[in-house]
Amino acid sequence: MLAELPFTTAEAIAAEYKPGVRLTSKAAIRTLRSKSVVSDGVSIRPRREHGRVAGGQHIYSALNLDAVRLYRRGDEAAARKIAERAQALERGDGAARLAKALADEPEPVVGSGWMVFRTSNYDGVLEKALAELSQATEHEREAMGDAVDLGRATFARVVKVHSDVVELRLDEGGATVPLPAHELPERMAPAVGSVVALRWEDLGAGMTLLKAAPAFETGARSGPAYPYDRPLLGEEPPTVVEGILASAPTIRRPRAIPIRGVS
Amino acid sequence: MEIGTPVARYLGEDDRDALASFRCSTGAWFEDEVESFVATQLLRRHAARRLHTRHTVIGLEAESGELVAVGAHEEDLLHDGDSPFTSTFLVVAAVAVEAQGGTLPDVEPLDEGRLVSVGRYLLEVLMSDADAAAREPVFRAVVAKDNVRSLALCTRVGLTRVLADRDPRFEQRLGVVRQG
Repeated sequence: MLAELPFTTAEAIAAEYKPGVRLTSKAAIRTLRSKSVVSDGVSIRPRREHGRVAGGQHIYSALNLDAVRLYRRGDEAAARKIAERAQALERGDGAARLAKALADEPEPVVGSGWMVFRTSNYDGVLEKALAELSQATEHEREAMGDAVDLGRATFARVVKVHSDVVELRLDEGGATVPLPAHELPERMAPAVGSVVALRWEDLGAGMTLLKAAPAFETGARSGPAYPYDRPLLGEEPPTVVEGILASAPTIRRPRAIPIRGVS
Repeated sequence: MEIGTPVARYLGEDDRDALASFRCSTGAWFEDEVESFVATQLLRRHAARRLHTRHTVIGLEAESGELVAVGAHEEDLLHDGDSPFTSTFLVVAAVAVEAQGGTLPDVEPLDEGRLVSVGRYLLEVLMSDADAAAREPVFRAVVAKDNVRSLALCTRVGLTRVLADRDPRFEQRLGVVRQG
C-alpha cells in the first residue's frame, strides 16, 4: 500500500504557505505559529558513529501542510482545528516511536527543504512507525474530510530519470507525468522505482500547482529476517561455546587476499 | 567450469543496483532467502549495523565486472564460559548462479588437494579480511540444514563444530583459525 509520509519539514511548510516565494522557514513558522495554524513539531536527535548525537532535526506532522494550505486559502478556523490535531498527533506515542526510529537511522532521512527518503533504506522499525503514524494521520484527515476538503494524494513511481526531467507513472491509470529534475535536491535524486506522492491544487485562472513529495510503500519489503537480520550485540543473551578458545584449530589460516576499495 | 580469478572488492551504496540484480538461487528455499536478502536488505543492514559493529560487505568481480559472489562478515560476541570475546560472524556468502560449481585454476589449491571453488575462495576472502581485524580467531556461521552443499563447504573449510540454532531449520557452525 502506498502512503504519504506522515511528517514534514519547516521548509515544506514554508513552501506550502507561500508557493514560489523565497521565504525562510523560520520566518514562515513564526508567522504561522502566531496564527496558531502550525503545531510545535517534534525534535529528533540522530545517533551517529560511536553513538554520538549529531545535529538535531525538527519535523512536523504532515497535517500541518493541510492546515497551512487552508490558512493560505482563507479558512483560518479550519486551519487552526487541523493544527490542533497535528499537535495531538505529535504528542502521541506514534510520533515518539517515529522520532526514535528516525534518530536511529544510519543516514539522515530528513533533509533541508525536502525529506530525503529512500524506500530501500529503512528497516522494519522505521517502516512500522511510519505506517502507524501514517494511518493515524489519514484517520484524522478522514475525520475532518466532511467539514473541509483536504484533497487526496495521487501516487506515482519514478520510471525514468533524465538529466533534466524525471518521468513518473501514476499508480492509478498509468499516465506518465514529467517532473523537472531541478525540483529535486541532489540528495533526493530518486532511483527508478521510488514512490512519490503528488497533489494538484487549482489556483484558479487556469493555473494548477503540482506538488510532489516522497512517499513510501508499507509492507513492500518481504525479505527474510532470520538468520541474516540478527539482534545487535547485547540485545539478546550471548551464545556460549564452552572451551572454544582452548580447542584445537580447525581452520587453515587464510591467505592475505587483497581487497579493493574501502570497507 | 573453470573461470578466471575474480577480484575482491568492498561493496557499498554504489553497488545497490548490482546487488539488486544478483541472482544466486536455483529454487531452493534457503537460496531464495539469501537472494532476497542480498537484493533487498544487505546494504540497508550494512548501513545500520556499521554504527555498531565493523560490518563488511565484499564482492568477487569477474573480469567483465559482473559480481560472481557476495559475502559479508561482522563482529560476533561469544562467551567461553564466563569470558566474553569478540569473534567473527559470517553473515552471508552467496555465489551467482552462473558461477556455482565454478573453480579457479589460477588460485593455488588449499589443503583439500582440489581446485579452489568460487564459494571456497569467497570464504577465504571473508576470513582473510576478518583475520586482519583484532578479533579472536573464531568464526561462526548459521547455515540451513537443507543446504547440503554449504554444510559440506563449511566442513571442508574447518567450520566443524556444530551447535543447535534457535531456529530448527538452521544449525550453527564454528571453527577456530590456526595461528602462526
